[in-house]
Amino acid sequence: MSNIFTEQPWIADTGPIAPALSGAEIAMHSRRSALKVLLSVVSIFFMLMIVAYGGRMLYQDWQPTPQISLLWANTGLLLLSSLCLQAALMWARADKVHWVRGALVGAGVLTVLFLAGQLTAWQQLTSMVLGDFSNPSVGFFFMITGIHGLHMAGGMVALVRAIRRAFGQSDARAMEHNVSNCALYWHYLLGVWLVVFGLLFTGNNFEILLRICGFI
Amino acid sequence: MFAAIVLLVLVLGTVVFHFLSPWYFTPIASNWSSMDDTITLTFVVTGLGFVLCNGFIAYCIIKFRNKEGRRAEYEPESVKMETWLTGLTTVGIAAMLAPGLLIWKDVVTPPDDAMQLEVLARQWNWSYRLPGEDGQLGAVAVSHTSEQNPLGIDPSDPFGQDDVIIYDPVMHLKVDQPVTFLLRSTDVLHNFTVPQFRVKMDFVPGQVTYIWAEPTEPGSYDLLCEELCGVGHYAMRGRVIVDTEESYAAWLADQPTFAETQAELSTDLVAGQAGYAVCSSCHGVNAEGNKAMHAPRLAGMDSEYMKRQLRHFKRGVRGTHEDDTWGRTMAPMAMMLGDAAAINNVVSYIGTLSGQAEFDDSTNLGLAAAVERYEPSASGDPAKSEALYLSTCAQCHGESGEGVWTVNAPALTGLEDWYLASQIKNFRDGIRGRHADDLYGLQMGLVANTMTDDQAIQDMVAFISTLENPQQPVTLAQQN
Amino acid sequence: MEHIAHDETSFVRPAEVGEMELYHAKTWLGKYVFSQDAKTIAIQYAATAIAIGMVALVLSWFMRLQLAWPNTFTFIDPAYYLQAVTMHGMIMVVYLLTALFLGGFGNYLIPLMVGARDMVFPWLNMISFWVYFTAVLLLAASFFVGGGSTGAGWTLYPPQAILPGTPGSEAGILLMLASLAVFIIGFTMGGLNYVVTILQARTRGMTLMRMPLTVWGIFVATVLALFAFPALFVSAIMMSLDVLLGTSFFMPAIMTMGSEADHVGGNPLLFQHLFWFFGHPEVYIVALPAFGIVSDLISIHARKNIFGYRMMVWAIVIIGALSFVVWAHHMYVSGMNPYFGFFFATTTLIIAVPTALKVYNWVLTLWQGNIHLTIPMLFSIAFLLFFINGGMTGLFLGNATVSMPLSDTLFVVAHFHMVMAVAPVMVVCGAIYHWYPKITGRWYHEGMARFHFWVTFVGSYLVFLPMHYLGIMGVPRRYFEITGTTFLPDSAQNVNASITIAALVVGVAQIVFLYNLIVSAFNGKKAPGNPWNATSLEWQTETTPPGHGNFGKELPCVYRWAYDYSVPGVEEDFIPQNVPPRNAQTEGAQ
Repeated sequence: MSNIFTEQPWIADTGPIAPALSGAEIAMHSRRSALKVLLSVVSIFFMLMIVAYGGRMLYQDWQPTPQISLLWANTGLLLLSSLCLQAALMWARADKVHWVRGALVGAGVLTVLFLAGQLTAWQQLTSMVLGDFSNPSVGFFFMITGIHGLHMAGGMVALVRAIRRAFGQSDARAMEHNVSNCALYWHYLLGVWLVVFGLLFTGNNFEILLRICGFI
Repeated sequence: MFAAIVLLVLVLGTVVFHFLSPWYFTPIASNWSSMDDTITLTFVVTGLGFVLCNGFIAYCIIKFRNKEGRRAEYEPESVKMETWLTGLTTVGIAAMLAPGLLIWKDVVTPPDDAMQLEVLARQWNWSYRLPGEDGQLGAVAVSHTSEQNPLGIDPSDPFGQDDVIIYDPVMHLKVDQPVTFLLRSTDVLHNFTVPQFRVKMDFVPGQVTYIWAEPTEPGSYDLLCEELCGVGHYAMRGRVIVDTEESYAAWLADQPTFAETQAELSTDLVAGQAGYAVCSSCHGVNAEGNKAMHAPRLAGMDSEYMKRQLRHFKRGVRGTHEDDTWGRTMAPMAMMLGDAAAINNVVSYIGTLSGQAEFDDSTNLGLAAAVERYEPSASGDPAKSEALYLSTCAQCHGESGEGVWTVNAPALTGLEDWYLASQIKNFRDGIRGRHADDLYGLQMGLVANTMTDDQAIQDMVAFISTLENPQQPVTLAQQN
Repeated sequence: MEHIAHDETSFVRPAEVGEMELYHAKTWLGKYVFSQDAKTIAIQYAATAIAIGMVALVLSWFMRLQLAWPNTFTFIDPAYYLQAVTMHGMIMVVYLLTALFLGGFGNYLIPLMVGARDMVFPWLNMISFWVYFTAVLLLAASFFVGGGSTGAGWTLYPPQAILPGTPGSEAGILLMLASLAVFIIGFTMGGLNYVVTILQARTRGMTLMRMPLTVWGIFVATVLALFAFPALFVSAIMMSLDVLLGTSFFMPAIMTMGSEADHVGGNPLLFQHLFWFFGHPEVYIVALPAFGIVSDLISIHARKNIFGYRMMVWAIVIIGALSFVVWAHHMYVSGMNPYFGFFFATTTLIIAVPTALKVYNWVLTLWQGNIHLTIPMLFSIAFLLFFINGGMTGLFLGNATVSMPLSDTLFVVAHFHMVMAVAPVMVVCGAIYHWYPKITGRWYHEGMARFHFWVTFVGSYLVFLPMHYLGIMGVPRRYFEITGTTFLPDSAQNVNASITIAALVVGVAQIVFLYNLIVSAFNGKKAPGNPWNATSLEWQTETTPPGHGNFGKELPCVYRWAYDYSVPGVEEDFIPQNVPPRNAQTEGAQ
């Protein structure tokens, strides 16, 4: 392998050249790196919304979103579905087909429950006194949870495909690549949710953070 | 070869254009000459870079262009040369950046002796507020803002009572007195720019921004909004007049405080009736107007608008243009009204009048010939002007012609068609609204410019007469 | 220069498998409309971008007509003028230049130049185009809705963008925001493809440091776009919610049309920060591909390796990275905390160093070269003039103090047109003329191309040079007309009129350009496979235009960088990237 920092590109090759990758290998590497790039784009996306939220928080008239305890339960659901996928990945590596299928379906069901729970949380918030849109924190709540939910729903498309593939073949090791991509996505969105939930929607944690950083 | 020559011509042409063309900064009139110096420095450094780089390109084209048997050199890179070039560029850039940062420090720190002046920008006009004798500006809020309290000063705040209100786009400053402009907007983004002062800053609704300058040359300067703020952006003009100390004091003494503007709101209708006597000879006993005398109906006319026009007539801002025959007739009449209170009383009294004619004015034919110029053509086609009205006129005068007070745009419904036509023409032709102090007039003039031919004006008037103002149930059409 | 002789069989191991599974279209629709071939998608992108760009060009004529002869053309009223300003800016920046450089050139050149059969996700690539096409349709639809398209300026600043008093504040702005959101979704699909193709699907021997600079420019620009567009996406969502749900992200307590609005507590500056966090990288999203392409054009047509290749690559990367920390230089007079000015003026001027280095390296590539004044070379030289000029005025505007008298004037307009409108367009034209023989297999009409070049080159300079001086005099931008001021001489109007005449002439020349491109594609002289004697892989394809799958049976193997021009000891003045060292040697080299 050549080093991007030290390579002197004007010197033509004098050593043997690495063999070509197969089409399947290229496709596998490509999907993995596309997922990584996508997740970094998603990170920027959520980071910007968090920064905007923090910037708005610095104003005097700030009122935090009312607490919704259902969100804790939803967090648990998302955590479990993420664990399911991790388990599925383990079992895929250990070549235990039936276990993989079960874990994938479990993850799917838990995710659907999570989304339903989020919708219920929206309804609860709407019915609360402070839940009118002129309160900026409420606007942020709907926007950020909504966008996170859309990302989960998008992930479901990939998960459903993985499940169909899992039921269509008996070689668990062939599923590994798919399952590990789903697992990465789920872990990542769980992480995003924990940050968002922890900072923004569980009391004034973010304000404490801003205070520590010296912004207030 | 030809390419090299064209390149050289463009580069040298640029230099020649820079030095020989008459187009450059307007002369500075503030303390920010240091800003001009950094610009000159930047011109020197970048100009040199521009000429050298492009000159070198032209040289290369001439010297190294393809000829029979020519072969290029092979040289992948030269770290030494690249390091040198990077170093030189860094030095040049530092030479421009360092003075820039030093002066920026002055820009962001107003001096301690700067006086405070609040500028209120609103679609699409300017007003101002000075702190008054207590040296402190009173609290303000959008929720206090109304036609009676246009700056939105908190009536319960004692600091606000003595604030000096300048509800007019023309502001006066004292020469050699540093001013911190506190910029406040109640609707959208705007920008405060006096080209001769060099500094500028945006208004952001919801917060107060600032910029400071010290005017050094007495004179009259344009104030422009340079942040796109809607359809009227280009017509959002103001004026800053830099006075000597004495004339500034004289001007300031004439400006009302907030408490005074609130006191003016109570009116004396009896005095108003007496004052109206002289007006009634032309405008009619019931303010119904007299077309033959070219006196418009006043009943139903926007009262803040009438007050402003009376002040303008009195101060010679309106009715002084030599072609403005009827305005010139009005001006001496307005002189008869003593002070702001008298104007206020008369306008209040007009507000009580019915506008119904007691006799049929069509019998009064004496001045028919003079009126002809203003006769609206029967061929006015409302459909042709609807788009222009809705895209442009409605932005200030409202979709149903009801007028919008924050824009200082009077209601158009209730005005007679001949009067509307004549005034739009006057605005367009520069007969009205071109006095230096009549910036609302200038605004209307700029917009009237879009109606280049008279037919367009007839169409517009025809369209306006179809409007129904919900706040004013009796429309022009119905009255006629 | 020493080459170690190898036995070719030990040197290159044979490709072990057929590299990529390609989707082969079976129907006409699948081949030409919903094509998954990056080359077809590239042409679809380019055609759509140029078509909507022509609309924006016509809008600029309307603006110029009004500015030169105010109120002569009565269909241009103040509201229409602002709509033209807004749509012209937004279309040119996002829907033309971004789409053309990344969707057009990116799709065509990335697979060919890195030696891949196609993009790694051809289906996603096809969807990406159709999503982009939808975005263009949404944008065009806004011309026809009630109230017309938005007239808030391409920056779409709230509160005015969504309040009465601004044209298109009802449906126009919503369509614009929706169109941008759709565009970003489509772009993200395409962008993933470009990045992953470059990272994963390069052919054997194509190390990152051997990629042509064109690929580097497009690669870094795509990464910038992937990271910058989310900011625009977030702000578009937030502004839409302010309109549709009555949230107050950007809307403080304000009056509108004489009465109090329902909003309370929003912050308009938040939008500006988000917008420019996208907006400044956007400048480089347009500029970096242009930098890359022009490097290749200069090198090929001067028959000389690009000078300081490694420095050029790192300059692109550094410029891209720095472009994320300079955004507030668009906001010196926005009312943000003025102390930010110190930081952003410094970062902005630092960017000038790598940028200047790139200019030096282009110029040094000409030095001691063998310059063929072909059409692509002429456009490259024109690019240099415009870019140097625009870069220099950037030093005025990047420096907070110097920029203050100039901000919001026509100086700014002239600056960004020089640096990110005309300069990249010069590269676009040069690139189209350069790759036209490869894309169509035919030559364009040389005379028409020269006419197009000279008129565009000289004309554009005559448009934008005097415009700086209008700005210096103090003429504000986005003004429907400037009469009624006391500080502007009457001659300012003559400057405006002359600019308009030049702009119209340049506009007409573009029609000649398009005519030449379309007609020559059918009637042009047949072109050989490598007419410029260039080294990079796209010129080494078996067929011209390249067929489905780009290369023949086996993908090429790369032994050298793309800049082996006039190598000493070699008879030909170029060595293609896929020529093994032994074969390139001649008697002189031993």
